[in-house]
Amino acid sequence: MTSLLSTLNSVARVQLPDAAGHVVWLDSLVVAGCADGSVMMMDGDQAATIVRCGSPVSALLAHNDSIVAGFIDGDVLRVRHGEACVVASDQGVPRSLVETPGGVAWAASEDVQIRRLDGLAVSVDARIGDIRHLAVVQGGLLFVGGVSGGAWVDTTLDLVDDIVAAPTLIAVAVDPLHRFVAAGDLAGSIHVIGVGDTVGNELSGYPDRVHLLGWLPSGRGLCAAADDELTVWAADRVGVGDSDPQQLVGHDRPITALAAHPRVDVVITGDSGGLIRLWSPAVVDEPVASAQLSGVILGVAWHPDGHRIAVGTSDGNLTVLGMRSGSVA
Amino acid sequence: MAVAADLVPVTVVTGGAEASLLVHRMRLGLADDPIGVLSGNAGAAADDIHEWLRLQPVEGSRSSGCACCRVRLDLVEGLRLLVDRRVRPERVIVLLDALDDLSTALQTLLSDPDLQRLVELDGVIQTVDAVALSTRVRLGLPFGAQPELERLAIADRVLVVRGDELVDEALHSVMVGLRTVAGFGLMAVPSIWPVAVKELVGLNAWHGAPAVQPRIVSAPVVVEHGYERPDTVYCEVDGELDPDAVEEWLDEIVAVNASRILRLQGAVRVAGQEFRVCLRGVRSFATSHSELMHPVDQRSTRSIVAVAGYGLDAAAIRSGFDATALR
Repeated sequence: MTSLLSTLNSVARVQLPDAAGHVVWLDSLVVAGCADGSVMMMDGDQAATIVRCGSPVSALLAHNDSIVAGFIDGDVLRVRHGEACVVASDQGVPRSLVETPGGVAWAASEDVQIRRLDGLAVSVDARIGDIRHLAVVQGGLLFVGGVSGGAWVDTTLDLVDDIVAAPTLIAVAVDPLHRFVAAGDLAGSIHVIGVGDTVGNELSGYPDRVHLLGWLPSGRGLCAAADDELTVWAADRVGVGDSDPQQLVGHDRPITALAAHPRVDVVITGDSGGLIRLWSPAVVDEPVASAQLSGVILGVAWHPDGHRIAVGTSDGNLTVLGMRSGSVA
Repeated sequence: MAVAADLVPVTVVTGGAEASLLVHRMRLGLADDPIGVLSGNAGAAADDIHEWLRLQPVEGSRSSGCACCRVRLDLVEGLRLLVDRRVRPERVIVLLDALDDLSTALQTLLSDPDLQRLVELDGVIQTVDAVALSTRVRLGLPFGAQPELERLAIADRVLVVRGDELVDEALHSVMVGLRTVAGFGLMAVPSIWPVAVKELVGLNAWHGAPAVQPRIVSAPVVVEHGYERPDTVYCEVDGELDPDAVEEWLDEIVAVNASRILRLQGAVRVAGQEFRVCLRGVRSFATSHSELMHPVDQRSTRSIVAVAGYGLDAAAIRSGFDATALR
């Protein structure tokens, strides 16, 4: 029988040694970065340590056939075929590991660190104070958010293209159609900035800092979470914010994780009470599917096939949920 | 007040080099319980047994970033990493050095939604060096740098180290000066009267009526040129208060003084409420809860509020509070 609504089912679960704050997919395997400094790989109902460092994992990236992990003490390690090598160390807390055409990049203190495939290590001062988040816009162009605004950083030329005047920016999400960047600030606003622009449109009114953002894959909506409030702003080729956002009411605890589906316009959210919600902007009155896990939801990641979601929680559980689409979602 | 079972108590330790030493001793003295230490000083925090995490030092920043935002973000990130764990620490000690902004850290601890579900501020401990203070007093130098005076005005416990190296008269001068600035803090000289580590935790000092008394002794305190000394205004009324008038009085204090408020705390008995309403805040942030959360033996019918800050109009604050009483 075909369900009208989508469903979420737990298809696999393993217990990890500590809270799983970062989750990524490496082909069909789930890799989690834990608070005790271990990076664990889940294969079926088994978990194996692939590398361990002395401080919590601060960033994680699946890059080609490798895992790149950043740790709070400043180390960045690359693990490939079971062999770990140090990519960088002692340059500040690595945040927001991303893949660029030339290699990998991340934020460390006030610099964007770039490690090229040819082995060249480059550091670019983004000139916006301590960097809190960055994202790849297109090609080698990054948008970087920090404690004194935003910056466009070109990782092919290793320079800052321009500075965006804004309050402290803590979350960055790039429109999949590469038209805009959305950046959430500490004061409770979103700044939607056209690619290459230095001035953005401010969407305000959130109860607290906007720390989670995600664009729907069609580019027709921007999801944002602040405290327990979740909204979707309609987007078009002109911009975002011409009309009031839709409120998605379904969390009564702070939302701690958000990820947009890779192909379909749905988004998954998790909160501090372990509640997982699956939302479709076409059905705003209630979530299209839910699941209750234990602990605080710390990380969610869609598999590229769009049918599985990896979820990491504070009690060290790493769960894979299977999503079966209903006729609504 | 008994801290809610799922909230981890946080003790903020601040001061100079003595503060790092104190944290080290607290870790040893509380070794039975898992403790998380959040610090910008790796030497004080790193340990194979306890969980630890570094706050990033603010000094040396190349760009003109907002230091307050950094403190807030680092604190939230650090505490989440320490507490959102498979096994939570029994308590967390946050060590702030001389460059860290205590007011911002406390405002974050009290107001941040993420932290409200994780932690509860237990108390603020400030360490001071008696010998250095005594030297400054004798030479007529500022009693302390402005951030130090602010910390003293906020602290719940002031530990005066090296007090045994001073003669009685010099120690007395130091203590009177400290008493003049530290409106909320109980003072101790551990080298003369030993203090057990367990007396520095479980304070619940930010709940209910403040442990502050009207000042009996005071001394002129020299401050840096261009600055002023923080002061603490103490208000007390016996009898029921008008709830609307109290709200209006509180709103006015916050609106008029805003960022000049270093700490606000009280418990007021308002008409129509069986229990007192407890207030607490830092800068422009203030919140309230019922004293129902407090053990019966700590409840009272008196209304007490204390406000520490800069340039406070003490007479206006007190008369405004008196005017909230129901006649």
